[in-house]
Amino acid sequence: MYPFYPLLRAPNCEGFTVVHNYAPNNWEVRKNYEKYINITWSDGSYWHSKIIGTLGKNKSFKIKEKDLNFLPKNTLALSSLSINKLPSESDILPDDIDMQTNLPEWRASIGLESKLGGSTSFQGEGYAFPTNGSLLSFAPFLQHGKDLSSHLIFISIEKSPLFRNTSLFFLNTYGNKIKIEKPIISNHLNIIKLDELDYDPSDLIILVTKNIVGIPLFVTAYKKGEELSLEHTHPPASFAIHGDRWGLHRELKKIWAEKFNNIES
Amino acid sequence: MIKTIYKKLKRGLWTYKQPLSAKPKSLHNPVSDLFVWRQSDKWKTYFDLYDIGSFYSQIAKTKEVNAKIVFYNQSGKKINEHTVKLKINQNSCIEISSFLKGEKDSYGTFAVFHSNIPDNFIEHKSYLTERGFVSYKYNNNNQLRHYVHGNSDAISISNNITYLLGVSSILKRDYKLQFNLTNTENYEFIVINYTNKQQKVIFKFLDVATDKEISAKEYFINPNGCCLCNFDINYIGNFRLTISSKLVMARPFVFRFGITKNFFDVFHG
Repeated sequence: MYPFYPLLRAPNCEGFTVVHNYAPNNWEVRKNYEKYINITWSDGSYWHSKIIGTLGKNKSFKIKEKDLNFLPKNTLALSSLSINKLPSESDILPDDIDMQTNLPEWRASIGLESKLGGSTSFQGEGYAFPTNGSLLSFAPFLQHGKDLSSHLIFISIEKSPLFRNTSLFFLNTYGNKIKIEKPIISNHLNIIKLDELDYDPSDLIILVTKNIVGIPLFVTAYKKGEELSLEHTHPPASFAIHGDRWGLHRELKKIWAEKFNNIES
Repeated sequence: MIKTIYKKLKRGLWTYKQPLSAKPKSLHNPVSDLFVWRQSDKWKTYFDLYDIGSFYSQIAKTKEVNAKIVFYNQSGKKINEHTVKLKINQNSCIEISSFLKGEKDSYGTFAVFHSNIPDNFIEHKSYLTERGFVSYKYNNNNQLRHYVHGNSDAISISNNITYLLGVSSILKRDYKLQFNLTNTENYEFIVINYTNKQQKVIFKFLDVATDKEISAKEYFINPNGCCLCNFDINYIGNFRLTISSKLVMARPFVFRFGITKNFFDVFHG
């Protein structure tokens, strides 16, 4: 699998992604190469890729969205490192020679910075999700306070460059009521303000989609960015280890699909 | 054909009987990460606790469910335990550091074991695991908690006795943190030992431009314990970190403090 590293965006913040051209361990990838640094984005019909530089072995490079003035406004920008040149235009998300590792995965530092001084990042990567998948996610991250503001950043990457309009449902903590339905678009960086959703401090946020998969990231800012906190939810499959954890995961999804269908009907 | 066998044998040296985490003794034994607590005048640690088992049922359990939190100091010695009753469908953000008042260490590890293990876990021969979320307040200067999730299925419990699930690697491994370290920030790196053996861990800081070693620090970590390494050298330039040890994955928790800008952040490798 060929990983992409998205560039984030959030109110009062600028996104950055630092890509690293060295493997995270000394045993899974024996040989490394100088690589192209690419930015890939969709216009809704095609994927476009542009080389913004090359990166020597053992080097890192910080990409800021503000430096990518060739990007259309509000685009989801995906950075990547490749040995070969990616096609400048394609009707499927491009990829290159797989140099991915597993323990851990080859990651970039993906983060947000504010002009007021806050800076936050996590080690992450993204892959194309299946277009027929659904999402179930449990998030405890909502923080309450008069100087705090929280947003959900929902990133969906699909192989097809199309922009699909669909919905993200916020359920109440019992899973028996939809608090709000928010429009989201595939191959976009969807930003949703959470403060107005009327969750109590002891509520879990439960996210459900019917036909889109994505990475839910939660960012909370103190005083519009003096301090920032950023974290992603665990995929529910990670509540279990060993055995038939994927079978268990399917069962969990089925339980919640039934709950969800009962609400809708 | 011979090339494929050679490749498999070579990889086997790194993977044979070296899982990230071994299977617990019983399907009824819950699993937890070893999370990091910090407590002092400057630090407060929190944990978001909710009944994971209840997600796997259409009907909420009527009987009481709880989670046992077991605390270790940095040397891996058990120092406290506390049982928290879980409220149905509710998240409790617990101040972990409040259970550690009077503790002389300012950091250590803790594990969270759930009592509610639904039948479908047993049917699928899977183990319920708590992977976090921990959050920290630093310097108490604002309301914001900074979140980080766990990074290893480290420990289980049977009849109130905990046991570790990590194994030692046959060969020494390098964990190369894919993060650009700079002299505009200070860093603290915490590595936990989730194996039954004391582990020697070497933190090597390398200059990005020259690839030369700037500094190396060596620690010995007891089972259940952790070590804290800070980079306290006044070094101009960018550098990176490699952690060498016999841990299968020595992913550090990274605490990051701005120097030119006044911020704090936490993430894991």
